[in-house]
Amino acid sequence: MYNKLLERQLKRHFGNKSIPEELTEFLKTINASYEHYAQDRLMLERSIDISSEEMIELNNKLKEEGENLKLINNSLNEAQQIAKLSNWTWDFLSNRFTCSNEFYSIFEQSPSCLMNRYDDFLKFVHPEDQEKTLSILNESLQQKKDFAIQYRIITPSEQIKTVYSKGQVFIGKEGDVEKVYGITQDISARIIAEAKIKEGEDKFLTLFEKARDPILLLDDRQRFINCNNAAVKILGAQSKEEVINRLPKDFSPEYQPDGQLSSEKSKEMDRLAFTNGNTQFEWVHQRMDKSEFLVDVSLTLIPMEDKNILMVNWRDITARKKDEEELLRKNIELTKTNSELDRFVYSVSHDLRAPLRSMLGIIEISKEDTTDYIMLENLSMLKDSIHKLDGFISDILDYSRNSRLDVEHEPINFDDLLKDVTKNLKFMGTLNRPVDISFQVKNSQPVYTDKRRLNIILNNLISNAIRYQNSQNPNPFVGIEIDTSDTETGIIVKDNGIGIRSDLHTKIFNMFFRASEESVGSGLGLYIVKEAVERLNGKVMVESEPGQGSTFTVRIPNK
Amino acid sequence: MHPDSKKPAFQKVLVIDDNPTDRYIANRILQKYHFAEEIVLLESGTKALEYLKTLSDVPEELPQFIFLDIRMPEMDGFDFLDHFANLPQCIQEHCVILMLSTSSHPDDLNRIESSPYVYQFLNKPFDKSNMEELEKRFVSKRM
Repeated sequence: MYNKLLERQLKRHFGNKSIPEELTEFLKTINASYEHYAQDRLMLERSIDISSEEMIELNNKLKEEGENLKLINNSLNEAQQIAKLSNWTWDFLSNRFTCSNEFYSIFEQSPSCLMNRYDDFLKFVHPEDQEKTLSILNESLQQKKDFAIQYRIITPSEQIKTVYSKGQVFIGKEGDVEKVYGITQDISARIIAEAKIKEGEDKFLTLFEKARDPILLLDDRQRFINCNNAAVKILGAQSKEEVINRLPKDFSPEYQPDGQLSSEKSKEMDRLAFTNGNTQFEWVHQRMDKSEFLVDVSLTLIPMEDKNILMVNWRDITARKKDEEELLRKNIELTKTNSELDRFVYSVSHDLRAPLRSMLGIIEISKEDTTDYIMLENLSMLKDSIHKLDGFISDILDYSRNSRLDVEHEPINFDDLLKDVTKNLKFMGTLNRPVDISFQVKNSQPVYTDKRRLNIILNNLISNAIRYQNSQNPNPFVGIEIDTSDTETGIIVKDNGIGIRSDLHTKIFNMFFRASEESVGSGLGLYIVKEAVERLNGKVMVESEPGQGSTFTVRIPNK
Repeated sequence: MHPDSKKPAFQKVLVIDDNPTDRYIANRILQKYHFAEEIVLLESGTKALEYLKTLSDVPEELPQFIFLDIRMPEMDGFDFLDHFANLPQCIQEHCVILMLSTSSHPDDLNRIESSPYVYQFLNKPFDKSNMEELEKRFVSKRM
């Protein structure tokens, strides 16, 4: 009936005895107190329960946040480390300087050594930057203004670093600067990178500006957006401004030499370069003063971030063209002079030879008019002398022509050529007896070379073979062998004449060299042979033994 | 063929040469070997053209051979050929032209070769073998 606790007390006190009636009212009141107490206690217990739960929860939360904070702090440190960015606070009231770890890293200090004075900090600043840095800091503090400053520091390891500091002043109630919050960042890497980029840009700019050939940049609207000094100069402009924003056609005559409108053709060329990446052509441009110049233009597509542009290179070929024309003119002149000279040499030789021919004619007549043995002998000697002089003139003519005239390439028929050459030579020997001349043409490959020079070569070699025949030998002969292959022509002229001493073999091709007193020629024959063979890029060789005869071999490459 | 021992093979030849010595030689040799009955010697192309023109009506009087020197003053051998081309056809058909010179420029030789009126180029001096060759060629042709 009563509260359990009261029941227990009553039982202990009264045992099994009944509780007196008069106590009933009193017990009721006490019971009520008991009931209240129970209720209060329950409430208390419950509130304790709730509080402790909250406490635990709060505790957990705190723990979590602490960890988060630690994490954030770590991240911050890490971030600062990566960015080489530190933050700091300078409290003027307590004269305390606090900073993040990175600050120590930048200045290569340990956290234990505090820097709380100007001097501590200034001793790291590069001497050249100290004055400037100090004045900016002082100004900031005096004028209560934020500051931003870039300066160099020298660290204990003697590294020079460039740092950037930014400070924000905090002004207290009194109106004084109480604190400065700031960051300091090591920007050395960026500065170095920037310097490198700048160096590259400078180099490129120098290359562009100092280039000897004009370079211009053209945008997709056909407007010049930049140009170098060479371009300004070639256009006869005062400055870049006169060139920039104008069109190629503004610096061109109305028409190009091919008759196309400059405005049309330039558009076409630009389009070509934009499509193909590059193009090259000749162009007549016009200076500011309307005078014209010829350039070799090359357009190269340069892709940019926002749009493509064309790099325009000009090479002034006005001078080159002029030189070419001059060269052509000179060449024509020279050819003319050469052919005039050739005519002159012919005329001179004709005039020299004509009287000799007349003399030979008179000798022929006189021989018929006399039977006097001595007279006939004299006439014969006269004739030989005239022939010798005639041969000499002929040699000089050959030499002159060989040295001046171009090498021709015409088909050669060796049979005809040899017949032609030998026809006039058969009876030329002093011994007045016929010489057996035979020739053999092997492997008749078509040969294209200079007929006149070939004639000179054969004529000289064969006439030498006849002239220097051996009087001891009853059957003088000259054998000519022509052997043509795909690559070269071989000519062998072999005789059984008097031969040449081996020590003279190297000298016989010299100018005016004569092997002996018996030599009757001009001393030019073999020299001319060598010269002519060399003009045909060939070689001439001799094999000979006195009394046995000589063999001359000529090798001429086929063209 | 021996001098002084035969009848001339041809009627008439004309020698055009500005050099008196060469005219003399030609005359002597042609006479010696009885090449022609009549030898006309003229010192210039102009005179030769005049002479030929006077004979245009009597073609049988025309020379069968004309020995023409190339290098002559005023009208040279080639100029003569140019004028010769304008002469009446009977003259052109009747006369065989032989050009004579000493060393000749290859261009000259080409011009000679391409001319329809020139039979041959001969090197001076004109000699026995030249005459023999001409006789062989033209006399046999006629027979």
